[in-house]
Formats: sequence, structure tokens, C-alpha cells
Amino acid sequence: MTATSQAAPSLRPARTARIRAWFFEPAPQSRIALLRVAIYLFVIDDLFFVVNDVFAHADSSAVLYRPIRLREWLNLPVPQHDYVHVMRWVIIIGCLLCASGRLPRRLGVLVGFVVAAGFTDWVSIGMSYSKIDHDHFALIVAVWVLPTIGVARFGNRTRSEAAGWALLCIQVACVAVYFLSAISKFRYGGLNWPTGSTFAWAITRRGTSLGDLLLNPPWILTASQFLIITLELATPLLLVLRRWPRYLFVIGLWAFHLSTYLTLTIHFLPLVICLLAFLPLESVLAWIRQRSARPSAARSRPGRFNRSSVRPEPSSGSPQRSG
Amino acid sequence: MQSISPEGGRPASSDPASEGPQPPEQRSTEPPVQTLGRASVAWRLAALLLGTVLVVRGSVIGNDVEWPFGPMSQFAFRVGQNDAIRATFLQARTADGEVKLVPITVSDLGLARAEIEGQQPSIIRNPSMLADLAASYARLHPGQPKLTQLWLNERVTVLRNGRAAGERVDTLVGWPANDTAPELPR
Repeated sequence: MTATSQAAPSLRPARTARIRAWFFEPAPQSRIALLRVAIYLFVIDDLFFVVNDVFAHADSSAVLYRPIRLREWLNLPVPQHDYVHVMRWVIIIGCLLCASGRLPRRLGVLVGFVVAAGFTDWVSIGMSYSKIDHDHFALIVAVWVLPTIGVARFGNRTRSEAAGWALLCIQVACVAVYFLSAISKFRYGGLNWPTGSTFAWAITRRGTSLGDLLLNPPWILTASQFLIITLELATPLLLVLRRWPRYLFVIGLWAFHLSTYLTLTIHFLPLVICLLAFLPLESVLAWIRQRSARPSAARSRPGRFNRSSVRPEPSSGSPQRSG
Repeated sequence: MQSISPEGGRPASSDPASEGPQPPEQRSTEPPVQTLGRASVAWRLAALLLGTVLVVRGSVIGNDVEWPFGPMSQFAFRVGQNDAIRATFLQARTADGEVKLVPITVSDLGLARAEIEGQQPSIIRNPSMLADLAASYARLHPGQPKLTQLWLNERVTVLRNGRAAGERVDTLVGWPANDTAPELPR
């Protein structure tokens, strides 16, 4: 950075500062460390329980292989058993290293990008047999942006703009999945998508017994369709809301995913995990530490959680009745 | 790439005493902030902008093969209140003559049902693609009787005003004999 700081902020310094503060809102290292644990451990889980058909695909004949354009552009091979086997181990080891939060900066960036490339390759194989899902978009974004933050230690309260940008990218990706789902519904289904029987279609084809209960009367599913599309169109609010309104919105989305799981066994877990990027994860860690570090001091804390002022002292006698 | 400036450089931080590194004992003050240099800010803004444009483009005019920047199109189609709901299933006769339903799952055939449905038109044009499924089945079920005849069927549920009003089974294609599948034993 050799430029003098005189010329740049000439016009509206306050405004550029505000814009910068929105795109690069500093976030604590501790939050990133925890988010990395969640994301990278989930990626390992994903290999076995979500996009778990890669081995089966690689082993079955290549006749049904319909590579997505990215694989063609990058000349990625038709998946073979040994190739995906090695790749899975590379991703697993890389994820464990990244989740540990102990890698030095340069190595961390390198390992992070190896995981990102490997996982993108892995999921893109899963999408190359003519069924293409969009539940992995935010997770793919997450594995590509998390390495750009550099070192992030557990419990470190130092905040960084790089962390803020990475979180924003994951947040924007989550919002894109929801909001653009609504746009696609209008694009492919028409503006009257909510009045159709798409949910009835899904439940008839793969519903659980709980889902079957919702089939009649049909207005229940029509109402759910209106509700879902409204929820999806409202998700850009997540980017401007802060604190509890934002957290409650995230909890609402989790409830929506739980309901689709219970009725259709469709879970969207890769997106569910990425919603953690909206939450102040570090305060959970701080809370646990506070609890475990000074269990006795917690009782004498001042303020509205001061239980000793509410509860009678044990000496006041009621537990001794059993004698 | 990334410069560390403990003073934060946040004009909006409203803390007049935030010059220089803060003593760790001062719990009320903000922790230090690592800021980014101009180049780091620039490429990050460009990347975020590019990614956003690509993903929005994907859903507005894009195509599935552009994954990960394809349209967010799951459940985006509309099913009318009087339409038919079609679910594909595979029926087969084994080497010892048993007629049965073969679940289209990754563990049974190496593919999921939606993947077969995605390729249904090609399979109908080219029934010998079913031979591939029979081979996958044999590999995934060693020691079990091989599938000697396969039929790709559809279970069709007809809707009337959003309610199921009847069900039938259509055979789409068979291999090697391209005939109609016999009714499955209930």
C-alpha cells in the first residue's frame, strides 16, 4: 500500500466508510474458528451421507454420465473408482486439518483451497448424472471463502475484515438459494406456482406418513406453498437485520427445513449448516467457558440472572422435611 | 496482503480512545481489528460481485448444466390441480422367473430415481440402456438371481381439484422384450 491516504477519501469519506463497514464488517476470529469446525466436519459427513452416491456412480458404467459444463471446461475425468477413493481421503484429511484451527497461515490457505477444489469436484460428480440439486451452493461458497481469512484461533476476540467478507459471502449465498428459488418458481412454474399442486406431487411421490396426512384437504398444501414462497422472497432481509430479528429468522428457516424433512425426507442440510454464518457463534463458546470456569461465581453475579436473590437460601428449611 | 492495524481504522466505531493497542484488561473496549489493504478489498469486492451476478443470471436465464451457478430449480415447476403425478419405478423378471419391483436407489442400482427420470427420454429412445441397470444390479447383488427382463414403468396418480382421484401403471419401455409389464403381485 504505497498510495497516500489524502486523495482517496476525498468525496464522501463517511459514505465510503459505511459501505466498507457493510462489506467488511469485522468479525471475531473465534467465530470463524467455530464456523470452520462446523463446516469442515459437515463436509466429511456430506461425503458419506449426502452426496454419497459418487462411488456408486464411479463404479457403474459411464453410459449415464452427463457431465456438467464445469467438468467439461476443466477436462475433469469420467469418475473412476481409484480417483474418487483418493479424492475422498484428501478431502477428509484436509477438512480435519482446517477444522483444527492450528495450521499456519500459508499452509492453511493451501490446504483450504485443496479441500475446496476437491469437494467441488466431488459434488460436481454427484450432479453429473442428470439430477442437479442446488442445496450445495452455499456450502461450496463456504469452502472457497473460508481459506481466504487466514489464521483464526478459538477464543481469539481479534476481529478481522477478511472474516467479515467471508461471512458476508456465505450469507449472500444462503440468501441467493432461497430468493432465487422463488424466482425460479416464477420462471418455470409461472406466477401462479403457489396455487398449483407441486407439494402434493412431492408428497405423493416420496412423502412420509406424516406428509400423507397433509394431502387432504388440498388447501393445507396450497397455503404452505404461499407461506414458503413468501418466506423465500423475504430472505434478503437477513442481510440487513441484526441481532435477535436475524437469529429468529434463521431459526424460522431451520423449522422450515425440519418440516420438509419430516414430510418429504428432504433436508437441505448443506444449507442448514451454512445458516450458522448468521449467528454469533463465539458467544456460545464464551458462555460455555464462563460456565465451566467459575460455576460458583455465576451465582453471585449481579443483574437479573442473580438467582440467589430469587431463591431462598438452603438454610431456610424446606428440604429437611423428609426427616 | 492483509495488514494488521490494532487501532482498527473504523471511523464509525465511535470510540475516541481507540488509538493504539488496547490493554487486554479493558474488557469494555472493542478488541483489535485486522484491516485489509486496498488490493485485498478490491479483489474481494470484485469476487463477490461476480459471484452474485453469476448466480442471479443462473436463475433468471441460466441452465442446469452451469452448476454451481445454475438455476435454483428444485420444485420450481408447477403441477396443476387436475394434472397427473408420475413416479417412475423399475419392474423386472429374474433368471428364476420371479416378477418383482426393483427399488431405484443408489444402493440397489447405483443411481437415484430422479436420475433415471432425468434420462427417461433417452432410455425410451434407446431401451438397451436398461441393460446397464441390469449389470449394475448384478454387481451390487452378487449371489442373487440376475435380472433378465426389465420394464421401466410409471405409477400415474390423477388429481381432481388437488385430490388424488385414481391411479394406474403405464409401461414406458421394456428390455430386451419391449412389451407391457405384467401386473405386479400385490
